[in-house]
Amino acid sequence: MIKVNNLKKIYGGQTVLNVPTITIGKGESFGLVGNNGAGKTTFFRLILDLIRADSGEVLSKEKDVTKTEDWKLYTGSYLDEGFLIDYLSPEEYFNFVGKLNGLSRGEVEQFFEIFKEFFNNEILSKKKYIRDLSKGNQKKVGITAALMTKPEILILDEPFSNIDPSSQFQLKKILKGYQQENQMTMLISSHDLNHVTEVCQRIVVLHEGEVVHDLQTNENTLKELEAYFAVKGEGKGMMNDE
Amino acid sequence: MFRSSFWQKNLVLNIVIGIFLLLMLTEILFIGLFLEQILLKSGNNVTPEIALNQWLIYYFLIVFMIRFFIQELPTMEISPLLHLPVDRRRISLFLNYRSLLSFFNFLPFLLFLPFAIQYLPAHYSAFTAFSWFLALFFFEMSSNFLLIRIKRKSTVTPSIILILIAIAIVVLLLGKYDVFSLSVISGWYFGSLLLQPVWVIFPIATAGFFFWENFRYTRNHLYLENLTKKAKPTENLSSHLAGLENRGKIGALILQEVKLLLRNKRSKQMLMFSIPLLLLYGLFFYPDAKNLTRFIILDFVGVFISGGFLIAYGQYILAWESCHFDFILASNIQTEEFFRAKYYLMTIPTFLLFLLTIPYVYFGINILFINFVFLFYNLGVNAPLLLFMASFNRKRMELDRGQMMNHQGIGINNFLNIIPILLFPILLSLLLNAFFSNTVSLWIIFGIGIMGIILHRQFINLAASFFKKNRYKIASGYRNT
Repeated sequence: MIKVNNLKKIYGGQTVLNVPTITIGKGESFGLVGNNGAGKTTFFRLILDLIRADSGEVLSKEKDVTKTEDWKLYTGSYLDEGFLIDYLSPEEYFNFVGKLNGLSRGEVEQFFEIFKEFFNNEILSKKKYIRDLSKGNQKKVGITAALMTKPEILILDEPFSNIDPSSQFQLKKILKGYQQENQMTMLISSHDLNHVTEVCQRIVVLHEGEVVHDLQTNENTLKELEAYFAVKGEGKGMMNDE
Repeated sequence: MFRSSFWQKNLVLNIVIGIFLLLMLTEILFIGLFLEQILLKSGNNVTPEIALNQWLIYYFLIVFMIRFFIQELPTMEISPLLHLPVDRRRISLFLNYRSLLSFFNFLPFLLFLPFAIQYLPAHYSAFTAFSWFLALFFFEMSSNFLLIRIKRKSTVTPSIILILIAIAIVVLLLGKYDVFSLSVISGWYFGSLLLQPVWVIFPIATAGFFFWENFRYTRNHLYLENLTKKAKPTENLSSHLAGLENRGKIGALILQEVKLLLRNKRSKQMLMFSIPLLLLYGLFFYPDAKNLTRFIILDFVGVFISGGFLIAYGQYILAWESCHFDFILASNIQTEEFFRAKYYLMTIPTFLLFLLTIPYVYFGINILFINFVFLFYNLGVNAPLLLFMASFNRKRMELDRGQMMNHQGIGINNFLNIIPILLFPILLSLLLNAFFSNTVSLWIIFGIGIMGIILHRQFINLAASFFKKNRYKIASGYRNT
């Protein structure tokens, strides 16, 4: 579904991402973990053609994402507030996204039914613009809009941060359900090892722009990851002590 | 930050603005230095100080009006202070002192201090001259704190602007027909002040009162919820356009952007100020019979009158959406569709604005013809040109801040942009008029406009592909906060 070849991004002489090759198959749920500055967002932005790679290519369904706009038809994404139109109400935003993807008003309203619990009565018919919602609720709006179009590829950056525990639980359920029902290819980044190992079958660890681990999730994965980051954390602590 | 090139890009612009400000300050200072001569020349057969005293009230009213539109409230900086161990009294005082830094508060020093030093001591005691200036200074302070107090409660809305304009007209008319003249009050007060310096107490008291009132108000309202105003979604004009939703993707894009224009401070001010001003532009030129024979002026006005919205909006055609530009890029919107929606957004209002300028036919049928020709030029040439130039504008624009004196989101490119939009048609007209008669020239320009309209799809696609080449740079510029 997605294939990455020799992908490299350099900012001001500093390599922030360097991925020789990664292939993500159809229906795969792919979790990206790493500390701040590891290159997670950069990786997603490159897949979404938001920034220019210094070398290499991203192929979506065998087509270079920089050369065609076809991938936009089947890719849903939410990275940050830059994906929200803050002067619209959530309903207007959903309808707009629906319209862009050829959904009718009725179809959009059906989705509201599915997301009812996730919204927890804080999103719809509140007579508020998105800019006046809390950070967590803004994130819910963005994630929902990305999912609403039933995309073949879903890309979410830190979907679990800023939202409350009940909503995190709901979101995991929704994501798993969607993925199994629609054979959706899912790319998620997270700081939270618990959530990401629960949702994803495959975990890739990025460190300073390089892939350092590529694991299929099993019962030991969480422990392995915790051990890996604990060592990193201690290493940092030691450096501070010096 | 290594990703940010904000400062380098802004350097040139800051220099340009700095030069303008410096020029303006020098001019004001010159007026101040030569105030005596200017007043003598105005020739009312009265001494300079009497003439000046009569006008001072108008000065304060005008400055107050300008403050009303330009001066911003000093609020933003305090949110980080609220949770720190600084008591509310101090924060409130700090807020009020901050407002003193406004440029307007220094105006009396430039305009009136030279007069108070050079002229007044020759005719009055030094103490009198001093109290006269002190009174002016404290009136300016009253003006400052009154404005701040008003602005804390309300924002600039179209109705307030209309009320202010109405009051100004009434006052001017009353003065003109000698019913009630502000200049008499002004002359009387400042005249008494020159005889009895003790009158200086009055402005000191009002300034003190407004300062105290501000202090009291801000101290009692120092909570985050009071500092930000939240607008409730309104379902007015934009919902009337809901029919656009059934016009497919392009309709949805247009509707979304209409909401952008109507719901954000910056765009609302753009609409409120630029459109009426540019429509009235003709009134500056047409009444003068000399202008009616100068084709170049008429052509220029023609470009401006129907193109007012086109230029004010089209200059930032992509930047308006800079805050959610990643959404635009990653969503299921083909670039050509996106640009076509933008084209309609520029051209449809331009056409409607032209309809509003039809009454100018009063000044002659040829005025209507010229404006008609340049309407087509605007639609056919300037609109696609603006789409093309949009790719040069790479500065993020925050929509929740006002437009006045705000050069955030404006790059040096925006000044350069104006040149082809306004200069090309004028040069074209000059060139054509050198070879053909005026009427033939106009018909040729009309033909060029029609060609542009017929070929608009091709032009839009050209602009879109130019955009695609530059999309990464544009998007990263828009991401730079």
